[in-house]
This record gives sequence, C-alpha cells and structure tokens, in this order.
Amino acid sequence: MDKYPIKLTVNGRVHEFQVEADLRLVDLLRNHLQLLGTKEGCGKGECGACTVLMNGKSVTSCLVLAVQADGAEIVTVEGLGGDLALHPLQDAFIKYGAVQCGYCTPGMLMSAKYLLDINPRPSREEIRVAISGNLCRCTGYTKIIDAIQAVAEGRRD
Amino acid sequence: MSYVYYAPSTLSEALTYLNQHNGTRIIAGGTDLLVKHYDRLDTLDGLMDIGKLAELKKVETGETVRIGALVTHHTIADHSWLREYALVLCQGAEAVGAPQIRNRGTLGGNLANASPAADTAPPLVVLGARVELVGPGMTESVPMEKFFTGPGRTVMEPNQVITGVTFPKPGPNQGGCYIKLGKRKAMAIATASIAVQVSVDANKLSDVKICMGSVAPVPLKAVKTEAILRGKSLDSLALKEAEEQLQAEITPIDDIRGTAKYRRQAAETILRRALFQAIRNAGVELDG
Amino acid sequence: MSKGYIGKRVNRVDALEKVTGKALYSVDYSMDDMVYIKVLRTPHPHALLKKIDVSRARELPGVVQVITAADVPWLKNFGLIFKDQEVLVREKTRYMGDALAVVAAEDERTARRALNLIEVEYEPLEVISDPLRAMEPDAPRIHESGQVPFEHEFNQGNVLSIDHLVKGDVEQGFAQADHIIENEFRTQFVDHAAMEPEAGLALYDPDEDHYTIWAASQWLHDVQTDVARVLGVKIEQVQVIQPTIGGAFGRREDISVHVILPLMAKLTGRPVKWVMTRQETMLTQSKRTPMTIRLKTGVKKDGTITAWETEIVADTGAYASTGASIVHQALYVSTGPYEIPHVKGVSYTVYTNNTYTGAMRGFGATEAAFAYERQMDCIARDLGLDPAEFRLKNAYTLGSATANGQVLTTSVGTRDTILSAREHFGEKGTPSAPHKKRGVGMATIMFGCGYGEGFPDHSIAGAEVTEEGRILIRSAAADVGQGVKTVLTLVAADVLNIPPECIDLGVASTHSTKNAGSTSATRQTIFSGNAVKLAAENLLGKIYHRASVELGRAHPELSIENGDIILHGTEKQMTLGELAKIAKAKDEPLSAEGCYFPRTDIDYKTGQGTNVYVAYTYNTQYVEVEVDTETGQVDVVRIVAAPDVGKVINPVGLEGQSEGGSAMGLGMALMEEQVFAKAITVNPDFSTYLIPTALDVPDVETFAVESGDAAGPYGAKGIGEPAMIPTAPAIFNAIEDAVGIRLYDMPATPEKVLAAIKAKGGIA
Repeated sequence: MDKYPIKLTVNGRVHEFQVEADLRLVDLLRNHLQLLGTKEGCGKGECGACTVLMNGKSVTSCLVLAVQADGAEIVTVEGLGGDLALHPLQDAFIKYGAVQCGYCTPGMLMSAKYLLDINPRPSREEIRVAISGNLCRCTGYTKIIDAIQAVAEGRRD
Repeated sequence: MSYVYYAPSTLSEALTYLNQHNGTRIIAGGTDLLVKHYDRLDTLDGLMDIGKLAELKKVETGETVRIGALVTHHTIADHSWLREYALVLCQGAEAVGAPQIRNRGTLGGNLANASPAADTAPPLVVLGARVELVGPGMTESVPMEKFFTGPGRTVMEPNQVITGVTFPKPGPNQGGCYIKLGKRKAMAIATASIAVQVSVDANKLSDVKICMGSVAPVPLKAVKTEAILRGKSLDSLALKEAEEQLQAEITPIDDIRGTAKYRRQAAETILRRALFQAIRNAGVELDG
Repeated sequence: MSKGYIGKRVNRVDALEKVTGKALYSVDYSMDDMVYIKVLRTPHPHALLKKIDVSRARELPGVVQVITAADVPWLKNFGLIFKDQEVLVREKTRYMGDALAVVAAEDERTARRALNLIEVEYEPLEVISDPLRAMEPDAPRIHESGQVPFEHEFNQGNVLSIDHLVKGDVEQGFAQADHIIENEFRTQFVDHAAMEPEAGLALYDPDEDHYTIWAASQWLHDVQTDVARVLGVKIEQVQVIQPTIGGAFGRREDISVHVILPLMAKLTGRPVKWVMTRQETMLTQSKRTPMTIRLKTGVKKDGTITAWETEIVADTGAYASTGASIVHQALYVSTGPYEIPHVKGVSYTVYTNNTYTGAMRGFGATEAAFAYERQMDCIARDLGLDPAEFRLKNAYTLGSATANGQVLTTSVGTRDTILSAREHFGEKGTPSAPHKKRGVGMATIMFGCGYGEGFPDHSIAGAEVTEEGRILIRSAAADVGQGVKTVLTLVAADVLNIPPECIDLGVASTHSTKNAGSTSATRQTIFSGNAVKLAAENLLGKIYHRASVELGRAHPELSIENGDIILHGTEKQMTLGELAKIAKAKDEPLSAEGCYFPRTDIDYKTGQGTNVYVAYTYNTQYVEVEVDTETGQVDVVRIVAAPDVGKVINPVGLEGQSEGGSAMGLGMALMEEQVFAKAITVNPDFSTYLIPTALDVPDVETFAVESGDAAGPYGAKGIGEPAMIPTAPAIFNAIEDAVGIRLYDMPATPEKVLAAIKAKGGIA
C-alpha cells in the first residue's frame, strides 16, 4: 500500500509521518505517537471515546483518516494538562466525582473543552447537548455535567 | 493493493482526476463513508479527499442563497443569517448526529450519502433548493426532489462532484420547521422526520411545502398533501383531509428504528406539529 | 470506631491517572514484535461444521499462524459454572458467534484479510430462538449430553436447570385471599455496553513454561483457574494481571480473550494482542438473560399479601455461563422485600441458539424486580390502594422471614427507604405541553449481597508497611469503575488513622494478590472491605507491638511531615519506614493479612435456608415521567433514589453508583434491546442498539439511608447492583400513572407506548 507524507501538530509539537491511506487519526495518535489517552470504543463515531480537537473543533478521531489530518492542529487529553498542571476541567472531573471507569473520560473532557471554548457560560441543557455524542455507561452523566458547570461558573470548591 | 488516496487543491484538479479514475470514492467529512467501511478501509479502491477545496466551504447569502458542499452541519446550524431566514435547514443540520459529527459532516456528504433519513434533505426540499453538480466541462443544477432515486442512490454520474446547493431567500411571510422523531434524544437516526415551509398571506396558507424523511425510499415531497393545504385559511385549518392524503403518499417500512404502522401514526402528529410551528415561525400567532 | 475517613467526600484514588489519560487499559498494552489476533465467527446459529479450509489464509503474506479446533484437540471446554463452551468449534455451532478459527498476523489488517480467505461449509440445523420451543420434547438438543453434576435438576432436553422455592403452603395462602391477581412480565436481551471492548495482551515464556495475560477480569483468580484448566497446565503457570478496567457490569466475569491469547502466544512464540471490534463484542459476548415471569398473588381486602406464586422461563442462550444461578436468584427474590407467609415458585433455565447470556448488573434480581414491582403497582391500582402504603403494609421489618426463610435480624431499611424517597420526591410537576402527561411511579427492591447460598465466597487482603514508610494494600478486588479501590483505601486509612494519601493499592494480579472473589454480587465493599479492615487491624497490631519495643510506647502519637508518617514515642521518634526496616531486619516484617469468609446456606430443593445471603441492600426510587401522548415518547424528568447501604463509606462513590445505575435502568426501561431474528442479532452497533445519552438521563437525586449494623465494614452493605434495580419498574409504574396504560414487556419504546394509548382509545 502506498504511503503519503503528512505533517501535523499534536499537542503543540510538529510531527511528520509517512502513512498509509487507511490509517485513521485514532491509530496515528495511539500507535505511532503512543498517545494512549485517546480511546476507541466503537470505530463508528457513535460513542465519542476517541474525541480530540482538530483545528479547534471536536471530532471523533476514528472517523478522520490520518491523511486528512495533514496540516491540522490536534489536541488530545495529554495536551489538555498533566499531573502538575491540570486543566480546570480535569481538576473538576476529579473533585466532582465525574470519573468512574474512566474510559469515556478523555473524550468527554475534549468535548467539554470544545464547549467552553465556543460557549464559556453554557446552561446545563447546553452542556447536555455538548456531551450528547459521548456515551458513558458508568456515571449517568450527572456528575460530569456538575463538573463542567462548575468550571464554566468559575467555581473551585 | 490499489488503494490510492488523492487530495486535489482545486475543483478542476478534482474533476480531471475523477474522470480518469473509475471507482474512486469521494470523501469529505468522512462521517458516513468511514462508518460504512470501518473495519475494511483497506478495501476501498481509491479515495479522493475534496476537503482542501476552499471554494466549496462558503455560505453566500442574498436573494439567492448558496451553501458550498463542504459547509459543515455545525456551520449551518450556527449561522445567524440562515437561522433568521432558513431556520428549517438549521434545525435539520442541528439534528444530525452529535457535535463531533456536525463538526466534520458536510452538507454535500449528507446529500451524496442519500439516506432516506438524511436530516438536511427534507429542509432543502421544502426550501426549493437545487443541487449543483459539476462534471467534466459541464455544470447542472438538479432540483432537490429529483436528486434522490432510492436509498443510497442519486442522479449523480460517477464523474460528478456536488459543489453546493442553492435556494431562493425565503420571504418575510415564510416560516419553516423541522421535526425529527428518534428512539432517543441525541445521536439517533430518524424514525420519521418532517420539514415544513409555509408562506402566509392575508391569514391564508398561500403556499405549503412538506417533505418527510424515513417514510419512503427517498425523502418524500408530499405534493398532494401540500395541494390540499395550499390556500387554506388559518382560521379554519382542519387537517383531517391532509392527514389522510399524507397517509396515501408515504410508503414506510418496518425496520430496527420503527414499524411502518408507527411511522404512519407519527407522520400525522409531526405534520400537525411542524405545520403549526412553521406558521408561528412565519410570525403568525396561533392558539394552543 | 470510625476515626474520620469513613463517610467523607474524597477524590477517587485513580481519578488523576484517568483524567490525564495515563491509566492503562487492556486495549493499551503492547509489546515489540507482537502479533495481532482475529477470530473467525460462525454466521450460522445452529449448524454442523462440514468442512473448514484455512490453507489460503495460511498462505497470505504476513499471516503467522492460523488454527482451528483440529490443531488443538487437547483444549478443554470452558465456562463459569458449567464447562459447556468450546474454545473453537469442533463439530457444531450453537450460536452466531461461536469461534471457528484464529488468525495471528503481523498486523490487524492482514489478520482481517486472512479471515476472508477461510472457507467453511455448514449443514444448517433447526435454529431454536424461543425457549418454549426449546422445551418441547421434539426440539433438537443444542447440547448433546449432560455437563457437570450439579445439585439442581438439570439436563432434561434443552432445560439446563429447574429450581424451586417452597415456603409455607401456597394453596392455603390463596384460600385466605380476597383477591387473586395474575400477570405475566417479560424482560429482554440487554448488552452491557461497557465503553471498553474486550481486549488484552499475552506473553508466553518457553523457558519457564509460563503465561502472562494482561486482560480485564472481574475475578482474576477464577479466570486463572479456568484458563489453566483449559490449557491443561498448572494454575501457577498462568499469571493474570489486571489492567485498568473500562467498565464491566457482569460481562467481564466470563472468559472472553483470556484463553485464546495465551494459547496463541505459545503457538506463535510471540506476544499476542487482541482487541475486539464493537460489533464482535456485541454479537458474540454474553447478554442479560431474558425472562418471562408469571406472578400470581393473593391479597386480602386490607392489602395484606397472603400468597405468592412465581414461574420463570429464562433463555440462557447457547451456553450456561452463570445462567442457572441468575435464574434461580430471580426466583428467590421474586417476592420482593415483602413478607409473605406462603410462597411457591419454579424456574426453568433453557438453552437456545441465541447469543449466550450471563451475569449483568442485578443478576436475576433486576428481572425479578421489574415483575414484582409492576405486580405490586397493578395490585395497588386494582384494589384502590395507595402504592406506597400498600408496600409499607407488607414490607420487611426486623424479624421478617424472606422467601428463602432467612429471618432478618439486622439492617432492614425497606420502610425507611420508601419513606425517605417519598418525602424527598415531594410533588410531581406540571406537563410542558398540552399533549404531554406527567406521572409518578415508585419501586422498592431488595438485593442479597454476596454469592450466598453456601457458595465458598471469600476475600483475602494483605496490608504492609513499605520501607518508604507507606502503606501497601494488596487486594485482587477488581475496580471496574465502581470505586472499590477508593473504598479499600478509606477503610485502611480509617483503621490506621493515617490520610488516604499515604496508602497505595498494589497492582492486582494472580501472583501478587490473593483471591478476593469476584467484583459481582455487590460484594466487594462487604467482602474485600472486611478483608482489608482485618488486614489493617492486624497490621496495626504489629505496628503497635514493634513501636512498644523500639519506641517504648505501644500506641505512639502520629504526625505527618513532608508526607512521611512519624511515630512519636515517649522520648524518641522515628518514621514508619524506619520502624518497618527494623522490623524486617528482625524477621518480623510489618505485614499482615485479613480474610473474610462468612458462612451461608440453602437447600436447593426448596430454596430455604437460615443465612442465605450475608446482607440485603434495599433501595426505593420515585420517578417522574412525561409521556407524549401523540408520539409515545417517554421523558424521564426526575429520579429520586433512597438506597439503604447500612453505612456510607464513600458518598461520592455511592451517588455515582446510584446515578449510573439509574441511567442503566432507564436504558433498559425505554430503549435497550438486542433484537434477534432467528437467533441472529440485527442491531450489533451503537447506532441501532441505543444506550442513554446525556440528553436522556435526568439529574439523579440520591438520599442514602443508613440502617447500619450490616455485615460489611462499619455496618456497610453494597450498592452496585441495587442502584439500578428499581429504575425500570418505577418508570413503567410512572407511565401507567401518567397515561393509564399497563405495559408488561420491556422496553417501553415510543411505539409500544403509543400502541397502548391508541388501544385504550387515547388519553382524555
């Protein structure tokens, strides 16, 4: 299979690859960059576990070919914040108990980040819509919504 | 393996390539194509990614509205001018998938995929839209209601590209509404859907356009139902005859999303709701 | 005595690694030089395998190994209780999804392509998808011969197991009744839909003849035992290491990747990785056991229940898994938390060619509660009784005897949960549109924690002081997301009177931790909580003893400085780490163990015992729905839950279980159903099998009832399963309250609701 050169920015760092055309962005991130935080749950854009930001917009990385990400700027959960400098959303997810098994968490965080980027003061209903493409089987969503709302309202309790 | 990927930078490059490479699939947002082939992407013969064609990404407003094929559902749903003048389309775009899908999925892709449940198709039909198809040395403009020929099938030739849709700016006496019924509140493919666009003059329905999704092999323009409603006074708007006519026009089937029987029952309900909401959106106060 | 860490709102101990994306799940493990697995599955639910030809697949470049049953004739069958499932089909397929061949290749793409090159010929047999057909004498046998001797009646044609429940004299009870109410209820196939698909990595070491498996399991040591047995090796030759688990809900009790991975690691001589696609997991892995439940209840005019009769026919699918146990648990709890003097019941667990079923949240109790709480509501409505008062009249209290004959002597919170949920719910709201109707429904349930029924059910935990002065807790209890790691940390912190930050939980593996039993049966807070409490108490004794020797003070004051635990003696002080070093040097290391192994019993002939389960959790929910009378769509607008968990260890965890359980119950009530057409799944993905999104689930309000004095640490009981059990019947009861339709089958799709509304001539 032919390979195609791509150049993209992931979490602020520029990477160049030669990729086959059937490689998906989620595979590039996980297998080539070892960014394992991005999870795959269904491969069909139906669960949202693989959500990342692409040029500032949330996308399911299982439905983006790596070649299509040529020139793009990608942010994954690893680019959101680390142990020593957590993003407020990560901090709130911990404090509000928004994490259970955690498999949906990275994608959920990226959808929440996208929401607050485009709508810094969302209503509770707008938060529900914003994460409606991210399935969670553990939490029932209540605490996830609480956490996002707390960040939007600038609460740090 | 013959899998070839090509990403043209101009429309003419795209058309030339497409004309020379039979079997090439066009990919834009990928939210349908990659789903269908999710576990066998390598079996696609060739892909032409039109994502770099900037000329297809514009929304042009005015007396004629033109929306490029690569405009995303998110852009349409959020577009303030469109929300004011063509709300029915924004509601359709808003009903697609989830935010991530609306950020990638495109209007052209939604049409080319030709699902009877496509959320943007009924709104475009009732707005009187035409699909712009460009092929080698020719451009044609196909009315929306003639574009689809069956589930997954359209009038497009293999060497054509959808470049956009156009429709006349709806007048100030118009209002529209899109309603979708699904088995859950988000990320549901429609069990049944309806778009209605009305024109109200002198307290009468001077014009009505109705198109339903998921009740026929293609998005169904209910022309006979429209005819019954056209000219009706808002003061005595009885729907029984229109509902009966709608039943005669739709041909729903049983599938995992619902039975034909349910779709028929739902059709009457969403016709009434969409019609009354469209009238309200035209600026007319209604009781109840 | 609790010293201050129990019941406090704390952060999950594993939250940081999860929000930063650092937690490693089964799908995340990889090794250099590994090969990838794909499995060929049969599309025929019931067929004789006439020929299987893998020669073209073997020739494909990049393919490392292809095997069928013929290549591994020595493999034994597997299964959680009955060993009735073949790793690879030898002669006959029994459900769509039986494995026929395994391909190992250099990459997933090649492995997938190789599958397409395998040629198989079948001779189709009659496909049995209806358990009633399966029970007919002329139905073809799905399994030819009996499996493992078992105390139940079993192995009669396709009937795997028949179970009984006999308390008092049911005929006498019905004779005392003024009203007799009979109804039949149905539950459906449900997919667990954990967000992480089945996956794992395995490595074989030929020098040591040793297998290492990284794959999620709810019960490491049971998987280890079964894998070793199937492979024909000694138990200690198989090490299973627990990755972070992306949800389980019962499904990860069953063997999924755990046998094929080590098998292929040995046959290929390479590390082997396998990640199932979502479609593969939905088509082939276990489901919730569907049941038809017939209930007959005798009631006096004043609302006293005098008799109750239950009959259950359940479809375990093609394999037993835990099916027989699920079904008899459904039978045992089929009278709900109500004291009824005369009870009789029988249940049939039946093989069909549907996808096999197994444990899923509630383990029969979810199905039973749907029936008994619908039945209670129907009775209350028919007799004109207030639903809550009718339940309160019959509800368990101290001294009540369960349907199993167990006299409840402690921690009986049924009535309190009803009163609490009712009070916190208050009044229903007003509909948002003229065509919508609101309704309120309640359901109250009980759940027996632990396996009970005399099953050898225990947990062993270790606790030690490391030389760094930190506390290391060793427990194999699987944290499937429910938060047992946090519970165990809080228990240890409380016993040792040190902050949770000073405590680490070791990696759970079969070689570094001892058997903690399964994360199922809502048992880990009780079982591993007690085991850790005992271990920590024993460790504290050793610390005190060593401190008395070294510091001259048996109960030293504690302080924390720069993260170090400092022990203050009468004159000198030292860190806990220093004390540990001294103790180790003297060959009396600061390490201890705790084991919790309670006794339970039952007589399977009658379902009667004296201590059938170690504790019972109770839960009442009030649910408010809004029904669209023209489309049949049901919107759940409020869920108020009042679970009695004895004592709350971790409030955040309790609320999380209550919220998530309610969402799962909502999904089961309104939208979830794996649909089979002649035993073939027609909706194997998340666009056709729908689970609730954030827009479908309301905020869940949880108000814990602490009846105390239960078997778990500090009087605690479990919550995992009972969190979801009342939701579905409460929603159905609310729908009936809203629009007066009586539905008996889950799920209440818009279609069913609208049909029922139309059938009664619409809504006034």
